[in-house]
Amino acid sequence: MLLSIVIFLPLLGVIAIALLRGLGANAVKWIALGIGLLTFVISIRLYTEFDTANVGFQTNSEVYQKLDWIPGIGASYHIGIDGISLWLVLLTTFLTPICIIAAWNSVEKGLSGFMMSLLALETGMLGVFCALDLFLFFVFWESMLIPMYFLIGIWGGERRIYATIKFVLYTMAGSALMLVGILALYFQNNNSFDITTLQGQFEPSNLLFLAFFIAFAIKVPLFPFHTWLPDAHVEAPTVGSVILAGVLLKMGTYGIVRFCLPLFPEAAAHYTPLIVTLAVIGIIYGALVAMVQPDLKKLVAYSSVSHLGFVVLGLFSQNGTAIQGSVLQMVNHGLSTGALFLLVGMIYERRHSRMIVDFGGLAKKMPIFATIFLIVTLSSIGLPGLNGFVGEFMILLGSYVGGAFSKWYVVLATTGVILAAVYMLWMFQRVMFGTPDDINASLPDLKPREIAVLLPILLFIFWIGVGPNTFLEPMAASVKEIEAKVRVIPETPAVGQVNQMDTDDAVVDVKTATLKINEEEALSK
Amino acid sequence: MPLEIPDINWSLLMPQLVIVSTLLIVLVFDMFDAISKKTLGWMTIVGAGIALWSSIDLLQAGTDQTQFNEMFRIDSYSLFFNIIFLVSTILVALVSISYLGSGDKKQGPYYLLILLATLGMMLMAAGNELIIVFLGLELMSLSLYVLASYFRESPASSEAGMKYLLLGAFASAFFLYGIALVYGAAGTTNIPEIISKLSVGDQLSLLSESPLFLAGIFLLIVGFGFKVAIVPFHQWAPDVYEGAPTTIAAFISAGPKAAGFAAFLTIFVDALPKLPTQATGVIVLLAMLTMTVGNVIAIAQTNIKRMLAYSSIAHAGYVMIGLAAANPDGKSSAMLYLFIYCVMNIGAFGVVIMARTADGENLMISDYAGLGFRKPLLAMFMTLMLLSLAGFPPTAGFVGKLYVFKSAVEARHYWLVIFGAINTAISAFYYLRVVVTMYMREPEEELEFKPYPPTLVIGLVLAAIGILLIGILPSLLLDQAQSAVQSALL
Amino acid sequence: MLIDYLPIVFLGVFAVLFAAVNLSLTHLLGPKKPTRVKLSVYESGVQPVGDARQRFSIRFDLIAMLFIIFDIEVVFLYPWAVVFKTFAENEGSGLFILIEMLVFIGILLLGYIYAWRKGGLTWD
Repeated sequence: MLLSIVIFLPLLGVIAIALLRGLGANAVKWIALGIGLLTFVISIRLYTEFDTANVGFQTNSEVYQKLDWIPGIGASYHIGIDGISLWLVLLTTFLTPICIIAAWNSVEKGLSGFMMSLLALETGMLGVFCALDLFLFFVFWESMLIPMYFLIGIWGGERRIYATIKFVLYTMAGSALMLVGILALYFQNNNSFDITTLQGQFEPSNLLFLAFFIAFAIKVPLFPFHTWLPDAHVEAPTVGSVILAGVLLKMGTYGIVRFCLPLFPEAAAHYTPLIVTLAVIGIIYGALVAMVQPDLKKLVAYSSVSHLGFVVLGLFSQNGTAIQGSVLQMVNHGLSTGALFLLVGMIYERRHSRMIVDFGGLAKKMPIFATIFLIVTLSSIGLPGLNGFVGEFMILLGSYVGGAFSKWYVVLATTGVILAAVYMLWMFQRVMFGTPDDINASLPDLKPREIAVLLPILLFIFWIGVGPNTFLEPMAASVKEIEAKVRVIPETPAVGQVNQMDTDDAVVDVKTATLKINEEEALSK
Repeated sequence: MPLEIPDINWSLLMPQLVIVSTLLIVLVFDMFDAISKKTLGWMTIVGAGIALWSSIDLLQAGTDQTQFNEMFRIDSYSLFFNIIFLVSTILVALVSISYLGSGDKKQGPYYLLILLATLGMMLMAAGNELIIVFLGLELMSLSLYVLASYFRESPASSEAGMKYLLLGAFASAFFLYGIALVYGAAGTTNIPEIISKLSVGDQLSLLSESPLFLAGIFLLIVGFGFKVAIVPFHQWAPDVYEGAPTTIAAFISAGPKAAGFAAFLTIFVDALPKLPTQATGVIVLLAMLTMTVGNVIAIAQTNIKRMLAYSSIAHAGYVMIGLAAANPDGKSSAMLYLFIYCVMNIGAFGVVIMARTADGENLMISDYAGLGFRKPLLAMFMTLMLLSLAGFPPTAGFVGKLYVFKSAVEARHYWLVIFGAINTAISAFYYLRVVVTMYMREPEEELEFKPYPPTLVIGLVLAAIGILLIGILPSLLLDQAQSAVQSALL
Repeated sequence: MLIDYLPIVFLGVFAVLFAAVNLSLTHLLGPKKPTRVKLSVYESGVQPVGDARQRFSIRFDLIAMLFIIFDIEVVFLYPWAVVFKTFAENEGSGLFILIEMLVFIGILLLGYIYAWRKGGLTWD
């Protein structure tokens, strides 16, 4: 029941707001915030009750639920979490109340509609992360589109209509293919949508893999499917951007790690060179384009393309460390990019501009803002001691040492880290340093409410950076499970022991690995 | 030669008898000017309601019988379609009562014709015999021709009626010619008998390849194609929908389409596996064409009624997917889809009626700008109906599409399903554009809207509840449809 | 079995040929002496008045249609009358088909009254 409560409590909030909207804007805000916080508090219990020894989905009846829903076609209301979805669920419940506070004063029209969309979106996202039934998964996956569509389309910027329709159509085109894939799986699996029992050989495996992968790649977004993202980010309201970057993009990577990899390991291995190439192109391309962006929001948007390239790279490495790093990096990216969008939104509310050239010298007049901005920027770059470092390091190390692809991919990807430092720091320098002009000099520093929005995120940025084991431990077993399913190459050093790893052994391992790959390539030819 | 009067079990004919009686009562009451014409509308609703109740009753009793020397089939299949028709009729009548108002003295025939058309549809679904199907088709079509041109003073309405009449008569002729050829080849007009003659044991018989028979089948496809408006026989639909009174456009797009498919499915789902594979190819091709053309042209529409017309063409394409699957699941999914489609389409037309100003209806999509915040109830209904038409979960439209696709995947028509799925994405574009206009654009001029008529709101609330209920708990309807097909198989 | 229809085809071909040959023969062979009277429009021997191409009231159509509807329905009475005796010999079924026909006529009558009440029979 616990998990169901977490999923549907926000929906209850939607109904409550719909009924009580007559009480005025303040009441609506407080209801939304109350529901958001309550959901978060309840969801913490998911962590405290979490059984790290359990490799698969949690069997605790508080969390795991299976009820008949449409017996006629074998669809059930079947939910549960494992170490991977746990963090994404917590990320979602964590970011939503933050978004509600962030939107406190910035929504001018249709406040109740805004809050309702936000909460409905939360239910949709949580449902996607918790569904263990393909049918249920698809229902949540699609229904989540509608509130996001409204968030961007009604409360967005000037070209919001173009952006929102582009967003919906891209996603729908992908999910249309996924639906065909789901149906094909359904018949091959004795008319069942149950994710936990999906197994065996699927034919044609490659096509089914692609049907799922394209849907997720659009959502991630992987180069070349990324073009909707900058538009959506730039036009979305601040909160929309935060949710979009923080959680929605993770649905793509989550889908890859939950479906594409374990269900079709051979097909995944077959397409790994192509996908990893695209991921590396995404990393470098995203970074280069971000570097020349005059618009702060666009810069952050393209940096997302780059960061998520790392995640995809790690996921396809067939290496436990890298996969674990990718999952952690999903959370990291949600936190730091979410925070970046919040900061950009705050400065936009003051200056009514997002152009980098309009700024300069903010550090003197807005010291708190500048400090927080610096921390978040460094976290996004991956400074050791902050969260971004742990994730990126694990991805790069894991895929270099035990990756299922050439080391050159990893070397190229590493340049993305350097480029990230370049564009982020350069941006920071142009915005914060120098002498402020009259307008910039008159900007007030952050208000307590805004600091309250950012502080929790900072807390986690440091926590993950300093003590990542809190976060890595619960997911270790689940990641190992995934790794075992996707592994088509020999064993490499175990998860979580990166620091003690003997490099010599690793080199040997890599050699055998590359040999193995060469063999396979030869075979496939 | 002694003549036998066939035993007639009147209780099985209750739905049809109730409709006929309602018709006569409405006819009698229409003669008295003292009686408000709204009363006639309510009588129609009550009559259709009783017929609906008795249909459900018969369905739950698991009736499976034929009447009148096997010409008339009362089984779960025809009863399920009865439910579709009667629900459509009730919704349309509810919407019509406020649409027509009480001022017009000539509106008696309106309800009469609606009832007559409903009776025709019920005949089509129950026909076990090509002649009965044709009889029902004509009864339905003739009533609809008159209804389409119901606003005599409006040139558009007259044009609609005229076009509908000409093309409809054309289609009927094709259909009748098809019946003649099939009869010539098979020697019978009884549908199960024709189908059983297609195979001998496990082998296909000579009949299934006889050119005469195939020509007849082809003509039947053309005839049905016109009636249910599938591409390339769709041209009449947008003009008729645009010109006809909006309630009638809703009616034509719902019940008659379902009736056309009822007969189409009866004949073809069982016959297709026994025909040369080209026949299935033709159906698949028509389905693809219908979906694509309907959706693509709908994108270019600025008039909301025309947009809905093209969308209804596209939806016929989705139903065709179930038909092409030609398996029991395909049949039940097509039935389910038709039911859902009727409810949501009437709902969408209902909202068009709801958005009336003093000058008449708001037919341009641009007129809906800004309604999201100024008319929240209206915009909410419209959004729900459009999202359902676009097939977003958790609405009924999603469930319908899913079942249709599922049946086609089962029949291994992967390309057809991919086509359908991509079309769903295309259709989302134009459905969402209306939502965009309502919520995200500012109105160009202030429009004075008429207050919402109560019966219309009742109708829309019913449709909305239906859409959400089926969307969240599809078993309610699916089980009925599946058992309907199962019993037909036994 | 299509061969069974061959005589019909012959009949059709013969009919067309016969008409065509006769028409063309009279056209070719017949003497032509046109006069004013001969060329005038044939109106059953009456002097033609005015132009034939004029509009006439739509009400003619209505009356004609009503006539056809109620006239054609009578056709259904004949077969009924023919078999009625056979049924009447059976126990009970005579009454049954009598009532059936009465219902049929009753509904027709209702329709007739409806048309009457709605002004379908009045000229203006």
